[in-house]
Amino acid sequence: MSAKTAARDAEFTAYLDARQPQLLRTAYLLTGDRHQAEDVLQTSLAKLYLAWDKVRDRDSVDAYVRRIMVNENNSLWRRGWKKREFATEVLPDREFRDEYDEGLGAALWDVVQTLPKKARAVVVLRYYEQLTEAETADLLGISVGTVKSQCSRALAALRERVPAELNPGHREEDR
Amino acid sequence: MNKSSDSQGEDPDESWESEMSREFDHRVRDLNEAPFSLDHVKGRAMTIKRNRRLAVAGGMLAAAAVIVPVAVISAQGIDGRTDRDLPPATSNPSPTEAVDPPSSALALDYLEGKTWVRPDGSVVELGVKYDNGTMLGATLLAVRSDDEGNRTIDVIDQTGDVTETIPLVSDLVVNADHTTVAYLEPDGDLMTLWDPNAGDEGRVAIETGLTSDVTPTAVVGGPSCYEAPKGDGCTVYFNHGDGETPPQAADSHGITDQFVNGPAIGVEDVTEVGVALVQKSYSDTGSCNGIYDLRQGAYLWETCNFFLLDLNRPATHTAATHPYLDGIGNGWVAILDTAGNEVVRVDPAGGYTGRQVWEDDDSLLVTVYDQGAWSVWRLNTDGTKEQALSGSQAGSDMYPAYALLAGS
Repeated sequence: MSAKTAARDAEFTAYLDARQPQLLRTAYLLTGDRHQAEDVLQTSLAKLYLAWDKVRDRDSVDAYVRRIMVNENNSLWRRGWKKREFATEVLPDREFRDEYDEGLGAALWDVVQTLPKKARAVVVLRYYEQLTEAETADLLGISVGTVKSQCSRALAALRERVPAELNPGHREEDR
Repeated sequence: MNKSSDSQGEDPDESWESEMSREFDHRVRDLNEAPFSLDHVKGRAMTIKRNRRLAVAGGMLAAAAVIVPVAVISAQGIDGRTDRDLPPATSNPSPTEAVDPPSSALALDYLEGKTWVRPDGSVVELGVKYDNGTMLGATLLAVRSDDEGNRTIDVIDQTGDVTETIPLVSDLVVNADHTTVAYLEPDGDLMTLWDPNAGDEGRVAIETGLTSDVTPTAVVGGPSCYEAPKGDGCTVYFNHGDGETPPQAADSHGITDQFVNGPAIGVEDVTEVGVALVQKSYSDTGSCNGIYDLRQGAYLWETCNFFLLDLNRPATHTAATHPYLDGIGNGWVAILDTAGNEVVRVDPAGGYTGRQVWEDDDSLLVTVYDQGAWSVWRLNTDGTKEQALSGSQAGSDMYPAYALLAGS
């Protein structure tokens, strides 16, 4: 291995160590499935590795890999993700369990999982990654107006489908 | 995480937004693992790189037309395309010593593991597992890569002996008659290679000083790529690999130039009849492509619904897949007529397709990974399809059990 490759790998490994858990969390929220999240993350990291020398602004790496993850998740159906369930290279150490599964949280999560993938990406980037509307639009390559409308529809779905007694406004009135 | 906002003041949805942020944080707060090592990432990266190469290797794939020998057709019966087991492997390296070898299920050469299977059913043990390759006349050009991703061509004679090893950094493409190949050497020379017995010295650089991102996708003409009257002349079509620079053609007259009028970022295939498959654009979600008439200098048909892979020899049909290519393989492969009508498709429910090669003018062979096994399917322009080689447990999702010998 050349010195250049070794240095490149060391730099990439440092990035993996520092950022992988956070990226896995985002991937999980995008996919709603631990195994699918790992698949998306591994492919996205691989694409990042291939493009590592081209991502000159190291501050933009997270944004770059988030965009890859969103696109990967949106296109999983094109390459038939489920086919690789039986061919995974590494078994997870333990089964991931959703422990926060009661009340409003569970109801809200159920609604989020029914959102179209692109709309789901918008709400994950906005409400988990805390990106602004402009940042979300830039990352997804869509207009700010589309970000607003996707968020608006997602919130409308929550209002409509989450049981009234779990409505945050309702709960606050009860206090 | 703290919620950021683009605007100040009252927001009627703020409580819902806060709940969503809270729920997301709760949902993943215990997810603190880093499941992938650098080796995991590099392994997947190599697969992606290899599949990207496959995706752009359309030029030589269409050139894989092989005339089915009459004797083979007779041996296979009237339809000649029933499922059958592979001929047994033998340690005998010389196919000429085989007595009445069983005819192959395919009308072209292919590799199964370390075994080279000829159309007449004879086999040659190679001792090395190659990624892919092509036939140059009766000579096998087999491509392998080492752990660092360095790729080489082994020139293999009919007895299985390696007579020469050539480094390459691109795909290996072959013309329709399997008499001329083209590839990029590490020093940036776009090389053409043909049977020395066909004339001249058997090789010449048709262009030099290219970057390692350049990939030839088709070679037309030959066998000799020397300019007439010394040779026959050929043209090599290639991509610059940057997703921006239009594809070019380098010919034996020493001219290298663009050949597509209007936007184009890649050429996937060119046939002897002057028809090309051109990629016009790409996005994060797909690509737009067209069938381009080189003589008219205009598109015959354009689409953003398919990625066009390989034309058959008379350019009456093309192999196609979905317009987004990245991933471990393509979800499906179909035959389209040149009006864009889908004729037939192989769509493995539990797997994906590896690569595809025109076996003759009417039949497309497709390697398929499904339910943990590799097989080869034959799609026909009459709309029928059948499994040509049954499932093999050899290989894995990353490493195909079969390699159809029509390039890399």
